[in-house]
Amino acid sequence: MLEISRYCLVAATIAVALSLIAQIVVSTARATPGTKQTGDGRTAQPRGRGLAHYAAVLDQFAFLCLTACLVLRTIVVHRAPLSNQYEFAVSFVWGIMLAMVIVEWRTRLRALALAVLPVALALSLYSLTLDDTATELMPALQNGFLLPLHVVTASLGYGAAAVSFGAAVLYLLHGHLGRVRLPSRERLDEIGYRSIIIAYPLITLMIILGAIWANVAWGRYWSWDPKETSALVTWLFYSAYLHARVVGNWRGARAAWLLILGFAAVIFTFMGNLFFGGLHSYA
Amino acid sequence: MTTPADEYDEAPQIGVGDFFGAIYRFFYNKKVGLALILAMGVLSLLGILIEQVNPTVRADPDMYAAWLEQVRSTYGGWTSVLDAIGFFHMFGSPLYIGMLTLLALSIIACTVHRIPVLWRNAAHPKTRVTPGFYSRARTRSQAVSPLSTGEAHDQVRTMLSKAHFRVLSDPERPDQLYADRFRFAPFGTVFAHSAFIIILIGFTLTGAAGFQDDEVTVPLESRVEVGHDTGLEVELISFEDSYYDDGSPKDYVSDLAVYRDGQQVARQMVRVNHPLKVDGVAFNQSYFGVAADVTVADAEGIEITTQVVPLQWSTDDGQNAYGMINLPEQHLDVYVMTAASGATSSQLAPGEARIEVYGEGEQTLRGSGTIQQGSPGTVGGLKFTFNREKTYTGLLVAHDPGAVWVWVGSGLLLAGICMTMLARHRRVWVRISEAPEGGSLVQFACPDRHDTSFENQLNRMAASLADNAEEDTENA
Repeated sequence: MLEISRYCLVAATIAVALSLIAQIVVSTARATPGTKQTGDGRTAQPRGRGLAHYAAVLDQFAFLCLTACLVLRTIVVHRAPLSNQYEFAVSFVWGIMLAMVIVEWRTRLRALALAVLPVALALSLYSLTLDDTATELMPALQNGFLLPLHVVTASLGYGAAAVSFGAAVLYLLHGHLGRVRLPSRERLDEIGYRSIIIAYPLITLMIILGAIWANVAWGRYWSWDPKETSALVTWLFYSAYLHARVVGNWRGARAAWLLILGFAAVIFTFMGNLFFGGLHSYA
Repeated sequence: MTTPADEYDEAPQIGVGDFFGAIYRFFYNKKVGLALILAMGVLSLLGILIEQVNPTVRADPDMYAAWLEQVRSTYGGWTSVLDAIGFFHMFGSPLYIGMLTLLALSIIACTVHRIPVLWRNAAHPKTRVTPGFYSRARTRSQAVSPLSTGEAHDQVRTMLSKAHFRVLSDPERPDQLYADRFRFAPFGTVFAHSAFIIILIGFTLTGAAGFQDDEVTVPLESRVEVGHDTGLEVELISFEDSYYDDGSPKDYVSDLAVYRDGQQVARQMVRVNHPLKVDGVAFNQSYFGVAADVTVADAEGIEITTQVVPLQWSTDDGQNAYGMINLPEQHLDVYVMTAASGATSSQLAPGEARIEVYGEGEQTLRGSGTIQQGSPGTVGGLKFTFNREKTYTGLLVAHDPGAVWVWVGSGLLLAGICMTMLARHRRVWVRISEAPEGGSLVQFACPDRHDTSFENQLNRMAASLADNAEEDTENA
């Protein structure tokens, strides 16, 4: 069954890659007569199911494959599959694809995929390089309540943060991508903000749950461990973004750069413990 | 007559109020707040990137000097600079604590400064705006209704009320309405900011009024004092460690009993994730290992002490484990060393223990030797007997009066963030005037940051008004 779980991950990776290619084609195709630009920068779709529709379907398929991958692994290992770098990498991609599917469903802004899917694809490929052997839980991780809560909130929060990153990147590239059609800058700015108002409470909750768990397992709620400090850095950067935007009315390029800085901190938090060790060295 | 020179010499008069007012303005300045948050982020990041010294090592000048020499190979000439500014113990450095204090002051000033504004917006919003506002506001929508201005006014009021908006009219301007929803949501920022201060207070209490001792080692069938004025003793009744097939640890569990005044007050199987708590003192399973049961006697053979010494440290090559016995009356420190578990190239055979005797707190060796289990041997003028090996458990014992404040602050932080982010204060001003083509012109306007879903809601309301107009036309 682990093998089937692995095949699901491969299928999801291929689907993400195909969706990205489809979106590049859709975004760079010359506008055909009759194709209109809507008020918010979206391109009015022709009748029938175009490539953009199938790109969205591929995203949904990738999300389902990732869900299947995690569910099958859960059945095999008899626990939440969220306890090592491979499992968290897969759940991180799952979080990104969930956020992407929701954003597409709510906003119909497919063009966001141009910047979000490369992140999902890179993480999928990275997870395929990792050892997926089902390992047993070390004593510190044997908390069937806090382990899934802590890691799932991280996956969901980081997934929403990836969407904000994609919106920020497209905002900064707006007008520099030749004939690539993108949503309006105002819309991208708003999507970046709305993603963070989902990501920020989740990241806050993830840090608080981590502190509660640390207090139970290690006897102290904060140890300045590299991974928990990285999560704090991420939280501070997103706090700076929200402070700048809400109080200082920062918008546009400066706000977009803060979003990129925040997501760089997310990636650093995800990967950093590989280089700096610490109490999270297993993750 | 005053000359320009006199004016120059005259000291400017700055009142105490002006001085504190300037400080207050500095701290509630949004750019200062932003700079402080980013500075905290950057310093925290540096704390991860730059190697941090263990607090135990830092507390010992000799060990710290040796550690600095060790990291000099990485940081070269920057080592002294980084040491001077405290970057090797970033999170306890004056710079970090100072920055955190400034951030706390900024948060307090910002919150105090914003409360009157938030209260005014919630309780006494500005209901009257200029006609130009309806053409400049960030979010706008409008529709022509066939109804008279009075009827349209009532319809808009009903429509907004149904959408759970509070609707306010200005008696002097019957052509305008003000409506809002979630008017207390912005107070979430007050909760979140206050929560940050409460968490900092919790952190301070943890450091100042509590203790965390991760060197409480309890040998099997032994009882040790917890110390730290707790009046508690802890006994290890049994210990069990188990492993998976691949050799990785599966579980380690200590059967602990805690005593006060000789009376058992608690007993529990303590494992990672399942601490024992007694009167606010938590006993967490942290580590375990092997201890040496050693008897020390003087030259005449009169027993000085029998101790079970946890061999909790390991030599640099990892081949040997060692622990220490302090003999206060003899002013000696005795180190006991055996081969580490799993060591393959230790010079000590199983059943052997090496004894090294030093002056108390000194590094001068008074004597050393290797003794066999069960056979007394003389080292440094004392007789040692290595009785046997025993398991010991390593506990992290903590009393943390700050934790409760951290949890209260965390809950408030989360509630404040969710309140602010997920229930946004939505405001709309509505103007109902006579349309040139007849009927009423209804204009919706909101100056707040653009929000597509709110814009869509206003558009739907406007469309609904216009639909009425179309229906009336069709009926006619």
